[in-house]
Amino acid sequence: MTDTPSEFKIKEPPSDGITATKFGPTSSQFLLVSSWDTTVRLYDIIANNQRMIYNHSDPVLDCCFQDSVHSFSGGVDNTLKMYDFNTQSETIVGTHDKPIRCVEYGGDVNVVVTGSWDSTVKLWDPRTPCCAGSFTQPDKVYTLSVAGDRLIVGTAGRRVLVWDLRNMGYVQQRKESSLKYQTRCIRCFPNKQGYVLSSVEGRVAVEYLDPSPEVQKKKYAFKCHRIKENGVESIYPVNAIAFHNQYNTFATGGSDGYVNIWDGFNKKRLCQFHKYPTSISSLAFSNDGSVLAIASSYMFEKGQLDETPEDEIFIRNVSDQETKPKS
Amino acid sequence: MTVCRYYLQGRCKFGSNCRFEHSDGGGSANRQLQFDSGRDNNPYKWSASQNNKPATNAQQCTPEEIVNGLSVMIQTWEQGKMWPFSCVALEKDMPCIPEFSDLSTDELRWEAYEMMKTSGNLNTYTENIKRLSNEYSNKRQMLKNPSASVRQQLIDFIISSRQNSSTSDSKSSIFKPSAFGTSSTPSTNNGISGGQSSNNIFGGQSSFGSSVQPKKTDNLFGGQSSFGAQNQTSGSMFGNNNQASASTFGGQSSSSIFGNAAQGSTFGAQATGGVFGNTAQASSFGQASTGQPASSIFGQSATFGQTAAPTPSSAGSIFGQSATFGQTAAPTPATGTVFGQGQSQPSSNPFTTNPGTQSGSLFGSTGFGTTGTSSTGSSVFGNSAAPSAGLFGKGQTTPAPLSNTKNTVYTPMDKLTADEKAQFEADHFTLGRVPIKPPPRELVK
Repeated sequence: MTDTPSEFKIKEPPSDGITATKFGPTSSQFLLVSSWDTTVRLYDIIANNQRMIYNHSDPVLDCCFQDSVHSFSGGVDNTLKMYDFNTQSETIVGTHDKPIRCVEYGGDVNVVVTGSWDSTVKLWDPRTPCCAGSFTQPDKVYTLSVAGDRLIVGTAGRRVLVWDLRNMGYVQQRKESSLKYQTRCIRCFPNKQGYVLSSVEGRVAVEYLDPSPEVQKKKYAFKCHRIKENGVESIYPVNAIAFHNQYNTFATGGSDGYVNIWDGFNKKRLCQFHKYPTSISSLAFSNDGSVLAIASSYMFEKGQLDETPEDEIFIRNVSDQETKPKS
Repeated sequence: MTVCRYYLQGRCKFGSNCRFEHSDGGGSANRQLQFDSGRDNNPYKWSASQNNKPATNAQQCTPEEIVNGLSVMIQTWEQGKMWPFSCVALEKDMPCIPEFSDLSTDELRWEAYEMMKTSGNLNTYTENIKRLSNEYSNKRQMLKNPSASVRQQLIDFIISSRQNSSTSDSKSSIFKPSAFGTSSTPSTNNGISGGQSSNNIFGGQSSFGSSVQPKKTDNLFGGQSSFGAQNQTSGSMFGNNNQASASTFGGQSSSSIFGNAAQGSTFGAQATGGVFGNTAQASSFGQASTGQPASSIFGQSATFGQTAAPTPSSAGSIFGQSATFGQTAAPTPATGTVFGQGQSQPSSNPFTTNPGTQSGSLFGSTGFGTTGTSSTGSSVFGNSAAPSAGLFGKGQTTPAPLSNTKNTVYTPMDKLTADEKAQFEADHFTLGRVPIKPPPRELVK
């Protein structure tokens, strides 16, 4: 895959599966990447070099920026770590009983949220830093997303829970996914009206938070990331979803190696990029929506292959043509 | 009228103009909207006709139709080479079938990673994966070609799921404290298992207030209680609502933590000002705990309310046999490894099976600065040791005989870290450092 001005590969990518890619909150220059090689790396994508790297003792499953100076990460070592880029120092913030699968930062509430396979979600105050509460979910946490003061958690068994971060005393909404198979990823709309949920069955659902029936009628699902060959349709999990903050359009990445961009409100697909070398494990839009980071990393969905594909991160400068709603 | 076979596959190009009947097994295609990229010739065409169907929810297929459509569904699953270790629901917005538990790619990879660390090779892992694949494959076969009894159970499951969701306000029901009483009623004793109602610790009463899920944790395919050996003991706890009253939990009914099950507010939905200092609207039991200081003992974790719906999948015994894979329930937090057969309870505390429910220790201690309702630890559990294990556990706990409770509820002194010990010895907990482990017997005042 040749580098072009619009798309290029990051140099010195992680040496094993990429679990998460996140952009900084304010600039599109820095990308945080966590990996199965136990590292968390900070890349400067304008200069295309690796700026910083730190380790956990075990593979890292998710990471996030708090601000341009601090990052949080957690993984198989059950530990949530905070890293300060200025002082290059790590702090152990806390632990779960089982691997931490999701780490997100809620800017409006100033809280770090972690979700783990021990079926709990924990909130952390980044200032101290310390634990601000632990909240049991009905099952292992697979994915979560923060929008404003709402937290949406997707667990095993297709459960979806909506929490109010300012009042975690009770679950705001509790439902089953409208898709029939395992939930893979949930991301909230930047306008906080709803969320997008993807499953292992090549399907994505768009749902709304307002429980009134008129709004609930608008929810829908569609099939994607499926490939038809010789009359048989191969169905791939949709691993990653990323929203464009301004346009509220979203990109999905699947194990078929494709990235699609969708306009959720007009129900149209805006664009499909070329096929990437292997499964897409993570997607991230920069804050201004001008750059899309695409992690192409085999996730062993089909078991061990003879030749494990390389783990790569592609940086693509996206245009309005690709991301802006047409109407 | 013949059912359109392309519609069943989700790709009928005529849409609502099709001459054949468009009814599917699962209702999912009703909302199948395919995207139009506009330019290139792609299979994902947008069929706007789908939008014209009003209130598609009203056009639900009959349970029989759904069960009939299963064969196609499973075939698509297998032919499409979909991720095999996924839970399954028969209808969207409905709970999963208990038999299938969720395992994600990351979890399997984690398992492989741990195996590499401990034994340096992946042989055990490969064997486990093979065994897992076979188990799931067998389960899929059961769905694809269901026997008469399985069919009936599936149909019952669908009916009861629908009932439960319709009794709640909406599909995405807002959790209400009083939900304990309301939603549970229709769901009692569906007899999916044909066994005693007491089989469903959580299902029969939805006592944990998850108003949407019926949580028929009983397996569909077999006749046994999903909680395996929990049967008898759990029955005594919840089988008789009247019995599951205040007395068991050491308090008068009015201020009992658990209220009175007969009133339908099993878990302290109205435990206002109860022992645990609940706020009026939010029973600590019913909901996640908050990080509020002092008043909320559950500073760490939500307890029962959240654990209301334990992974039904975890509890299933497969097809009427004694629980093997189902019981070990790979994905549940309780077991040490994904594939472990053993009910390895890492700590002696039965409540740790419910990861968030460390507060199980609450019953035994007054160390949380509450009123002295906590009768001596043993009396709280004296009668209910095993059942309480079943109460809070996800059915994974090996039923602890009564006499073991004292040993298993409290943490031994030597297992505490210095910080935890200091916390327990202090008069009040420090927010943010509330220990997750239960206190040791010695420090319970």
